[in-house]
Amino acid sequence: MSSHREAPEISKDPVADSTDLYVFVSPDAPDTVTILANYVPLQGPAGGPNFYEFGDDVLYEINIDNDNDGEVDITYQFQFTNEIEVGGTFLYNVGPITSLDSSNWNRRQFYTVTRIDWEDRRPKRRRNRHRRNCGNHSLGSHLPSPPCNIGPRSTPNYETLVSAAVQTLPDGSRVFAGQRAEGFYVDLGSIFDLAALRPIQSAHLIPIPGSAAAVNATKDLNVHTIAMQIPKTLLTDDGTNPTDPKAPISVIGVWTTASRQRVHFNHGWGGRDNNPANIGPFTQVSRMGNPLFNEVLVPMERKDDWNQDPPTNDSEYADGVFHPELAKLLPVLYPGAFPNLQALVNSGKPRADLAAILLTGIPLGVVSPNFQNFTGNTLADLIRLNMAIPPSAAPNNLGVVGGDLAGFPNGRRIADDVVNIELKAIAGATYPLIDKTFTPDAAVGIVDQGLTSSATDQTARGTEHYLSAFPYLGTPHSGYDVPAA
Amino acid sequence: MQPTSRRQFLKRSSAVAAAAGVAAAVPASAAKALTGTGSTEKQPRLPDDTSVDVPVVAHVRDVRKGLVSLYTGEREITIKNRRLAAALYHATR
Repeated sequence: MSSHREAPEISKDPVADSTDLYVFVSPDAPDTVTILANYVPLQGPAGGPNFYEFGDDVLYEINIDNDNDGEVDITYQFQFTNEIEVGGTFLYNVGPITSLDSSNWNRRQFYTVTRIDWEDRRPKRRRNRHRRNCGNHSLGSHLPSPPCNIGPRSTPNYETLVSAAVQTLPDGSRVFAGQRAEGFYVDLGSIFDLAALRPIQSAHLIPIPGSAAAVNATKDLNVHTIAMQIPKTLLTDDGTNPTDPKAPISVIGVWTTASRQRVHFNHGWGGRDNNPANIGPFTQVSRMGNPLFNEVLVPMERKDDWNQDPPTNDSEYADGVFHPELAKLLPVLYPGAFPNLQALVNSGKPRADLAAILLTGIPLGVVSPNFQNFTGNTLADLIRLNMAIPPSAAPNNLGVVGGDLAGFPNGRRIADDVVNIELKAIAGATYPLIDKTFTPDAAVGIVDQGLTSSATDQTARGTEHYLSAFPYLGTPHSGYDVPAA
Repeated sequence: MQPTSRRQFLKRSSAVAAAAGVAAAVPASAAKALTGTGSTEKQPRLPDDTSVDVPVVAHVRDVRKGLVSLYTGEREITIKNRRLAAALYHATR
């Protein structure tokens, strides 16, 4: 999946598991950028009696580089606390929750938002390890998260609770933190069954006859989202609203992290209290930039290390981008379908096209005379967004590969078919950008997980819940309704 | 500061001692090792303020070099004290 349970250690720690990151110019508020940071993957909606929540011992961060060096310049921090309101009951709620201050709601979650502007005086190479802030601004405290969507008796009119939980911060940004319907779509069951795609499964090395419809493995699942909608003027290095797509200052790089304190201490029987102690500085345990990066491009034995590293360390993992394992596997798994890709792999030439997409951004003029999201030669897995590119009136779910410069890998929108985009890119679709003599195999055209009906389809199978306004991800599936009988 | 996960941290620890709250449970031999004898170092004054009763975790990172990391609140303080490192090491034998 995008980054759900993508590494051995974090797969055992779901509340700290960064699963997806979306960054896009808000289509309904184009002077702002929306950032959606998802955690707590694969929630079965019927999760009672202890419904899902953010970790109250986890530090969640959205990190932004706005001067094109891969180092953090702005961090938004989120920390959560739980409060028991009723007491004396095992229940999450003792009656309908019709407002965020309902006396029927037993276990509630609140959060703080802090913005940190990092200083430039220290050598930048060291800032990610020894960060010192020059401005620590509390933007909100005791902000309420809505409850999980339980069912029609407990959470009637669920979206009214969500509307009440969307807060406007003193700097003009908007924020929301709570449960949403999973927006990422993928045929997980087939893809991780030896990289099979159901529509072309008969061509696989281990064929299954016929063509089958793709299955969206995340169709009925929920996730927890930290959503921010931030004025562009608060994101650029010079405080301006970017209008020139060619200007480096128009580009930001974004990644998210989750951190835990170094020591977790269970008092055990006879201890002074029953609450475990968390002690020491926060240390990063999860990271998210481009979808599928750690999942597909980093070998198993390095995945936990990657989750603990800053993006500026990604040169250590670049071999998985320059020589991706999946590019070697495709010609084997689909015999005869990828002769040109096979020749490219055999040549040993580095995949500079993939490095541009994932590690440096795309230089000016490579895909269009007026487009770039290049952030320099530092290899760093970031979602790079050229904020001067306006939202597309007719979005293409293949993003830049489909000619839509407002989509992935220029940022990432919720409907972008990042699985198809990255599959096609790895299969060779983007290599002509750096070598015009290369001809992608005809099979690249039919590399398709099969969850969208066309490149203009904005509601892939199982994602019909997308919203047209903040927080964009749909109403979470209710435990009463899902799973269905 | 080496990047490490919570689990790796615990796994890699050569010795981890929760100093506060467990000192009373340290056996006599270990207590002797902790207090030491024959040292010329001045004995630290014990605090008498009850507010100091907060968790402190000591991690002997390298007993031979005397490197000890102390964790309290959201802080990590690494000190170099071969006598303390040796005392903590022997307390766990």
